[in-house]
Amino acid sequence: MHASLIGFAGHLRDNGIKVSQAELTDASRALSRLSLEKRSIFKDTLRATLIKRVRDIPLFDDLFALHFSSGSVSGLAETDHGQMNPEALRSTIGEILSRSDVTVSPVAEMLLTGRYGALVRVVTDLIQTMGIDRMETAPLRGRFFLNRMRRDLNMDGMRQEIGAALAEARGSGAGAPGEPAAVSEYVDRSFARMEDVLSSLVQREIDKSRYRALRRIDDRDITERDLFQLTDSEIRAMRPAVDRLARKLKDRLSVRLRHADLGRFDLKTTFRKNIGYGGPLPELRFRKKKPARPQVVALCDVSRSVRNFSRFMLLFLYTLKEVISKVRSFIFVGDLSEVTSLFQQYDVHEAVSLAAAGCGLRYPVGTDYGASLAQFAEEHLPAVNSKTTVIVLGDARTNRLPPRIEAMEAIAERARKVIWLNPESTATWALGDSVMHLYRPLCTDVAECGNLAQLTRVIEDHLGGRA
Amino acid sequence: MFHLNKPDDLKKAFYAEKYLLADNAALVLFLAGEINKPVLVEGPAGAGKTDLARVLARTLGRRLIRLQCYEGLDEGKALYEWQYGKQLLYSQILKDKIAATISDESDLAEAMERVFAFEDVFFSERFLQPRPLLEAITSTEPAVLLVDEVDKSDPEFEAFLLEVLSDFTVSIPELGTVSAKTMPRVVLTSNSSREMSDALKRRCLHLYLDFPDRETEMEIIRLKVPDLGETVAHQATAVVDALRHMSLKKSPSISETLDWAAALVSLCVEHLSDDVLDRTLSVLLKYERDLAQAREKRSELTRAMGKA
Repeated sequence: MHASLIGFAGHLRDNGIKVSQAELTDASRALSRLSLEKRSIFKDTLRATLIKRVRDIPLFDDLFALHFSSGSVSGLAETDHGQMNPEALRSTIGEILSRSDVTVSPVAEMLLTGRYGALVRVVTDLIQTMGIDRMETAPLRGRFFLNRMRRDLNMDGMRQEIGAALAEARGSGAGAPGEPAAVSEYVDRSFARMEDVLSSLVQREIDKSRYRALRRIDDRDITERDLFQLTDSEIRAMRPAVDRLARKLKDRLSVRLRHADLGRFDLKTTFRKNIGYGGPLPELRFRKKKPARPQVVALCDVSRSVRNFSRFMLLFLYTLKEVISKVRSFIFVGDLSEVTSLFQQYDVHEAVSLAAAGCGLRYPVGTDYGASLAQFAEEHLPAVNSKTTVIVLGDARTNRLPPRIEAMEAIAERARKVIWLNPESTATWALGDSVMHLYRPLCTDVAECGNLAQLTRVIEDHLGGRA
Repeated sequence: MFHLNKPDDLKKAFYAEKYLLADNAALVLFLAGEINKPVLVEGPAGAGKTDLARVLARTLGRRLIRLQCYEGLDEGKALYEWQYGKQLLYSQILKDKIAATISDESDLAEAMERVFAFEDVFFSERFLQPRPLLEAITSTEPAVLLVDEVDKSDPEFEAFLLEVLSDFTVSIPELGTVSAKTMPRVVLTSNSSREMSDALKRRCLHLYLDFPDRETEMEIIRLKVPDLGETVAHQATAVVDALRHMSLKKSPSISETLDWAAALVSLCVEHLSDDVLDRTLSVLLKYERDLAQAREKRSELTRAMGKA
């Protein structure tokens, strides 16, 4: 029991589920208190003790099925013997084999006399030495491994030996006990079952290794990945990791806010609180300082070249609700549109997808920075005040259209800070149709951020506490 | 007090209290008692998390001590507080008393000796106001401690919850460590509005309470609202099930289903018509937008009812 439990825990860990030693101990303690007459009890116990996050439950279900599947070696004992009485047949065969002159491989003897425990050990050892369990993805190599296992176990040879032994017993006729037909039927079924078990074992190892391969993709440090190259399915796969990253960022920022919490001594409430003590003031009261939580206006270019980047920026901004008092978000390509309401209506991920798809834009092709900024300055300038941090996301590639510097000036004049985030690397900023060098002097800060690590750094620097 | 030895016994005891306990929930509660672990119950609002603890206390014949968590909950409200007022009074009494006691001592050293001979009760349990966590631990009768909506509390609160959960002790700097006289059964509930720390989760058994499937919900209705007709009950669970498959802002919970069932009983509904559905839907759905969406997709609901 213990070895298989530890093996299963390793399997869970391989797939990114955290399992601690303490939890493993709990699991084994729990199992020792139960009678495991039902598979579901075993499964529920493992789940309650090892799996602590709801989103890991489906993965756990899959892995459990893989690991403890009925096609496992111990499934040998479940061979369907029809009407036969396996007990009697086993002792019959045992007798035949012990009397026979033909030497029969010990593996075959284990199989036919029902010593499945020993057989399981032989087969698992074989898997270990062959290294199937360390195999990389190779679905086509399943056949190869199966053939090798059959050869190593000498399945065909075993079959012949048994046949010879049975024929000899029949030939000698020396009180061959039991019915010959039943005996050979039993042998047939046992071997067929053994073949099944072997092939499902190989299949299971392949499935397991496929899980490991899947996991490896996720594992690559997502924060360092270039956001340009992400596909939709990859973005979906990154969700949990991004959420985790955002939460960490939020925790760091909110700790900063809390430490800045204590304000000046509050004489009035201190007196009121200590009236009961008749003189001394054991309980001091301080005024709560209202943390200056920044308001953010985000202007996101959602044209094809920077769309992914805007996605993550918006995602982060809305995950940081506790730290930022107010977010208004606008998207633009050829024109500009406010998407703040999307985030009130939909779940963050959904809203971000809608926004990134350019929902509400009249001219969703050909980025026009000048026109979009001018439109913002004209229609939404009151949204910007001395508490507002304006974050612009985009590559500042204007397609040779006028950059409308004056619009940017108007925004910069009102805002507390203007931060321009450019996913392109600094070296290319002044090349081609990029007008980054024109906008740059108007911004409080400009930063390159092409991956999540850079993005989190910028957010932390500019939105943390009273920074 | 009962002794419940098997998950199945627990199930029966819960059933007697009109709570339909799922197999895995029974198993987890049973194990929690066996290996002395707190249970962290997660799941959507209204799936019966709080009730689980309440009924557990009743079936075990224990007192339920409830700690409702909220943002800003601190040690003073959750663990213990010193009663400054009483301590102050005490020190005043002490002043007079000391004067009387050492009045006949001429030597300072001797006077100090005499003072030290007295018991120091200033920081003692006498001046300690226990709050739920300490109360659960020091209770002479074993209790059930419910830490409700633990996800609403601050991350700092988790830190001192950890000590209570793993060792069933509370450290009071002035007194030392108070350890449990009796083992409380601990149930924590969470709506997952915040992910709890790994350290906390590691110390708990985990139970996920989801909305029940239709048959189970039928049984719950039979158990709680026995007056509802069988046909209507079938139709009602079908509607609720269909609603839960829509992407609503808030899916109807079990408690809302039961409210609705009770409403249908008091309206003497024999058959759930479109009209009745339309008028009573607001019992199930609490957002205008959800209601509008449900009305829009009424054909789906009617189809679901027809199948039932």
